[in-house]
Amino acid sequence: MENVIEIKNLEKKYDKFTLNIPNLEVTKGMITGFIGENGAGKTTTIKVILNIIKNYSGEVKVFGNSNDLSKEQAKEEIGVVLDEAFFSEILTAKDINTIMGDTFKNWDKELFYKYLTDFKLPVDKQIKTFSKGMLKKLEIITALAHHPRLLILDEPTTGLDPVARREVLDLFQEFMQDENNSIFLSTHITTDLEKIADYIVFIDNGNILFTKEINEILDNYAIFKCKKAEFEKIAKEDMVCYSIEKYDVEVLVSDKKAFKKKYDFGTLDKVSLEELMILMIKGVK
Amino acid sequence: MRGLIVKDLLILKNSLKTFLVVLIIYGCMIYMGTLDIFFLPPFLSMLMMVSTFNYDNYNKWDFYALTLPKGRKNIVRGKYITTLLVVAITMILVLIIGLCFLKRADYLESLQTSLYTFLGISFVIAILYPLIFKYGIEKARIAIFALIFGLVFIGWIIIKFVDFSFLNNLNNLDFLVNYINYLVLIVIFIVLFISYKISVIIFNRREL
Repeated sequence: MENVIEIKNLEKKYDKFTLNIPNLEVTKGMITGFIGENGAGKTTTIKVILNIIKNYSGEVKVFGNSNDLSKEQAKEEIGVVLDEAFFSEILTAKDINTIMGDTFKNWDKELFYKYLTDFKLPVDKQIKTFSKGMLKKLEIITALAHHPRLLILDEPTTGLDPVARREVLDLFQEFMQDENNSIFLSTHITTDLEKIADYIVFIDNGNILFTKEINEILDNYAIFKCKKAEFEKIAKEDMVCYSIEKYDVEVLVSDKKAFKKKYDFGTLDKVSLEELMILMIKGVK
Repeated sequence: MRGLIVKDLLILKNSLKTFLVVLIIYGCMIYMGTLDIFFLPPFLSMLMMVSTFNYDNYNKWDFYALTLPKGRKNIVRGKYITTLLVVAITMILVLIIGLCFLKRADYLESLQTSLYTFLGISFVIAILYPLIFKYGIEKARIAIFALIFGLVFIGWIIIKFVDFSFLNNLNNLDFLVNYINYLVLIVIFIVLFISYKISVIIFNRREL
């Protein structure tokens, strides 16, 4: 399978934080979700991919190229939504169309205006009059209107109500109808990823904890709940991590079928991405 | 880069009404003879351009702009070109207003004043822009105040303690007067070019 993003042995050091990614791949035609708590290194990773941060060790390839010039050229084919970074709020959607028309070779004015109509966004009003949800929608359609092959999205659904979120997710899925397109999506709203993602990359404190297919996670991982006394009987190698709660112990397991065969006490519950994320960050390994 | 220039011009469009009012008041004052100086509106237009850095900063535009094609160099180049463009347009407007309404209109003198105004503005841009690209607009504002205060202080020291009588012996440099306008143009070009290069280096190194 072809990769649109490939990171190998990346290390970027700051005073109190080190981003360390031995391997990260975003496959063509797939939606890769990037999860982790605030400050885990998600935005820094995105900056590295977009060639905004350069002073690092390791190799970062975008569309198969690792040199600066190719990465700059690749931006013609990348649509980006950032968390709280966009055009000045005194500009209008019409202004953005003018600016982007002079910025991207493939800017599609008709498509941009179609999206504005579809999402009922005003053309001539200053962005500062938009609600948070409207602004996010504008950011997303701006990222889509030059026909990118790759979308890099940092918290794209934050601030959207459930209906708007669904509309936006539909837009992403429509974008993915073309099998040459790919999405790399960082978000806190893990339920969105359960709906649309193919792969999940989990980062914590600058380190990648795992990269897995979402179905593998949802099919094989589970939360095992038991009493403290029963917990003592579980072998360490059978659990990913655990958390001792007030009345019971929650254990994250990575192979629920094998676990069920081995231990005949307690209950196995389905695990959501959110629960998995919290347990892996807060739990004891 | 055209997109970046258009972006700043569209931001400035929002201040256009205020600026036109200033120009009209300025024209009236010139007509009534209460003012015959040319440098205020061009300086004002330069300050308006500096204000676009505030808008950029508030919405983290630089971060977003770096995700767009063409990279860092064009962000810097765009700012310099737009500033010069805006200042030049303002100066032409002011010249036209001045020459139309000024009772004792002197074309040559007006052009020369405009040239010196441009020189002054170029120096301010040349110092201010690298500082903005290095520290961001908030910190650069403090730096520029410090800089102005420092320059005034140094100027005061020079006036107070330096003996200028040696200037009387420089009569043999009179021939320079004939070429002074060309010299000023060359100085403007060199100063802005060096400042631009420094800004590019600074902005390339800056982590956003």
